[in-house]
Amino acid sequence: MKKITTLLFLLLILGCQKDYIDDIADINFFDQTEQVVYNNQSIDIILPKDDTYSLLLVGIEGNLIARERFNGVKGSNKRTVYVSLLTEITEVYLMLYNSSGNKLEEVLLKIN
Amino acid sequence: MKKLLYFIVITAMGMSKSVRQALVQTYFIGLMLIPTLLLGQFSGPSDTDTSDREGGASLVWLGTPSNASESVSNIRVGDTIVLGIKISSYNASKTSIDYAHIDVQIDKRLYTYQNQNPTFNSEVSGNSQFVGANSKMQFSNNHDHYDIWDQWQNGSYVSDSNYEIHHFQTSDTSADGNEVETLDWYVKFKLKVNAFDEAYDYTDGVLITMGRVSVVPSTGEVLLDPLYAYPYQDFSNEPVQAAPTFTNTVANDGQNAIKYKSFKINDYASNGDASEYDAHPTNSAGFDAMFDYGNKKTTTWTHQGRDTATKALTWPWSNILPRHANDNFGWIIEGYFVPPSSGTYKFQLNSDDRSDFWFDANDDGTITNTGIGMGNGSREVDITNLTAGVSYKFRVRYEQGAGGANLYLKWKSPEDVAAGAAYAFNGNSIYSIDADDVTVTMDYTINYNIDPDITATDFSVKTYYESGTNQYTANTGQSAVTLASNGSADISDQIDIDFSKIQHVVFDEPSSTDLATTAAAAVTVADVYLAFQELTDKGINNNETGNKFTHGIQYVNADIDKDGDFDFDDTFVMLDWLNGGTEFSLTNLSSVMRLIETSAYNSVASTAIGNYTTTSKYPLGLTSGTFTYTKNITVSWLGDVNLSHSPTPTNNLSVTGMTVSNSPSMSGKRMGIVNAKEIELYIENEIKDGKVHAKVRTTNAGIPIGALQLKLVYDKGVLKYNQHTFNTGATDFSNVTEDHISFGSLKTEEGAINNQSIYEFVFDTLKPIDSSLGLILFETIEAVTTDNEQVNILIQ
Repeated sequence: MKKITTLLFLLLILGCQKDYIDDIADINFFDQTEQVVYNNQSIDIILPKDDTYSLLLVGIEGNLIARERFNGVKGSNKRTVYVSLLTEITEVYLMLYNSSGNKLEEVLLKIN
Repeated sequence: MKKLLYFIVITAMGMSKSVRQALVQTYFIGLMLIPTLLLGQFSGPSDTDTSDREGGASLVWLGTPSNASESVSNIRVGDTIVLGIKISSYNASKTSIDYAHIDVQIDKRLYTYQNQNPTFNSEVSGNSQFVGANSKMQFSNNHDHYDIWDQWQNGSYVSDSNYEIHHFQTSDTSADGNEVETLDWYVKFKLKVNAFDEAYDYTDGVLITMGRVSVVPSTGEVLLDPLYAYPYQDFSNEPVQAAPTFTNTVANDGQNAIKYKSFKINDYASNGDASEYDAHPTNSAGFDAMFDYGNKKTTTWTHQGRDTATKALTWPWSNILPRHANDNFGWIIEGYFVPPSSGTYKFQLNSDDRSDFWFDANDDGTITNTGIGMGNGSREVDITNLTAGVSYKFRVRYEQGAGGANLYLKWKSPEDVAAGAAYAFNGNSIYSIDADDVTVTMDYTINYNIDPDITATDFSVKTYYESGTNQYTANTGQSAVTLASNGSADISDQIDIDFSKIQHVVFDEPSSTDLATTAAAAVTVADVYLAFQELTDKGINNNETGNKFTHGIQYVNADIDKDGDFDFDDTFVMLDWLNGGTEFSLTNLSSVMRLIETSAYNSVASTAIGNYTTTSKYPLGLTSGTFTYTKNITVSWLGDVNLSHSPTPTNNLSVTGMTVSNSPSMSGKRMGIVNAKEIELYIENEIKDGKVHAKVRTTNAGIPIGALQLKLVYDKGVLKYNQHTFNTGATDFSNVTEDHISFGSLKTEEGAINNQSIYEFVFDTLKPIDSSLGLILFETIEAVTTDNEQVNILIQ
């Protein structure tokens, strides 16, 4: 009986430990300098506050390819990247700008 | 050879000087025939063969009836020669020969025996002769043919109408003997030379076939055994005059070539200072006699060969056919005349001294005298009903005595006559053999002057010939030739060398997609804008007199409805094209491609734009007898008004009524031009109310933009076009397809497009989406100022 009581106590203690999954969900797509992407890929980005942001696809030579404006919320935001039209491009920068036109983040996408 | 010479020497032993000289001549002839001998059925005796000889019988040369010392080389067909038979004994114990019976075979094609009673030497007696008509020696392969006693015993005669056998016998059985071996000849006979022919075997002419020679003492006949005839006893096959070496100045038979014979004439010294014909022929027979080298001692055939027609039938002295000297020579020039067109040809023959002209006018293989006359001087003759491309054999005979000399053959085609052209020589119409038999290599290169923005290697061509009205058939064995990167195409191997066929080089049809892409690149808003500007300038009168176009070809390209002029109708079709309409026919390459010989392209007159049609085929323009061609063809495109994808003419401002302005050249105007003016485009996507909005805003920065063309590409798997709104203050256009939209604006009136023009598109989504990044892309096509200057576009 004593042994059973001890086992239940340990299960109670361990069951109350912080969930490890919560730490993984906070990973920001921009935390890496390079990311391999495929068409229709969902990404998570962390925004500092609620605001209007722009995501830009910029060529290696600095030429603007596409811009999307969206309303973001503080914290994690899910977005989708489409690259099927970039048939002649293997690398492109993904940049995050705020409403003031300041670049917040940048990552090099290697199109798979 | 050593054996041969040895035998000659031993055969000549004991002969008199004159006989030896004659024999040397004879042997010399034989030596010249050694190659024939070695390849023939007979071979000469070896030293071993002749070491056992006891006697010999030889034919000896005794000249002509009138001159016993006459050289063989002076003999001509028709002359009579004299031959004798010499008997020799090589056995010291068998001398005092008093019996000889020698058979001589004669080829009647070459000789005619002149009398049935030969002349026997006065020193011999008991003579007789008889003839074996139509007979020829059948030598036995088992017995040496030159062992004539052996042949006597084992050989036989067979029937052959080309030959006859003459038997010459002397016989004196008296005890003192005739000592026949001491005579230069015991019998001689005459032959008339009928012909000479290198095709005859040397042994066919005249030779000793068999014989019996003996000493006949009181104790009985003692034969000379073996008894040999010398092996090279034939006089017949020596040509009266050996043909001179054929010289090929022109390597192969073909165009601008003839064959000739050159003669030394009027050589009186070779005929006892006597002439045999008129020094200057007065008629055709005179030429016949002059060049009858086989019968005339005063004529020698000195040269023959193949040379250029130009050299043969034009002058000057420094470039004429071979001759022995500049005086007293003559030529027979033969070739084929191939008229480039049908009808009556006027020929002119001009010479100093005489000449005549023969022609197979009906191409039946018989060449006849044209009757043009003999000269000196210029004469003309018409030859009628000649057919283009047919090879007509002709002959020109010419003689030069002394002093001035020349020879010209010229002619006029029916077209030349109609045009009033002068007589002229053209070596391209002369062949050394029938043109149909000429093996030639065509060399045909087309240099397509094609705009660098058009990838030449994407195109290939083939060759076709007209097989009927508007019908074209591919040449046999032809295959596609891909253009080189510089636009050139070597179609040499693709052409059927049949000058009767009208042939074309034809571009292979690209895929409809590639064709549309090419057209889309070539015909853009700048072309339409320029066309409108031209119309709103002075060109509104449909008389191509505006000053916006600087080259006539621009009017041609702007005539997009292909009605022969450039007017508003064309601009409407162009606008329709920008809006995705079908007024601009794009059914195949020939509906948009324009091929113009570059020299003409550079000088297109604005008043003659209807002369230049669209086509993807070009006539090869083959001229009979011409085998080397280089064509420079410029490729331009219907609708390419500003010549952005068509070469800019190099030397042309031939626009009727235009005022030459400072309008910039249209060439080289591409996006990304260095130092060009620049405008900015702000692009942005956004999801609003479940739809995707894509917007372009222009910032012209004070630059007056007359036309702008852009392209939007969208992901058709996610989006579907819904609508668009433009705010440009200009004439807008859009061509919406399932995966892209071509759009833009142009000012069709005074002024410029709005500075802050906005182009906005709305797309429905085919599935729920949370983002639109990458679903829509914008591409720049072009922008031009109101002065038609190309402007760089920067997307911001």
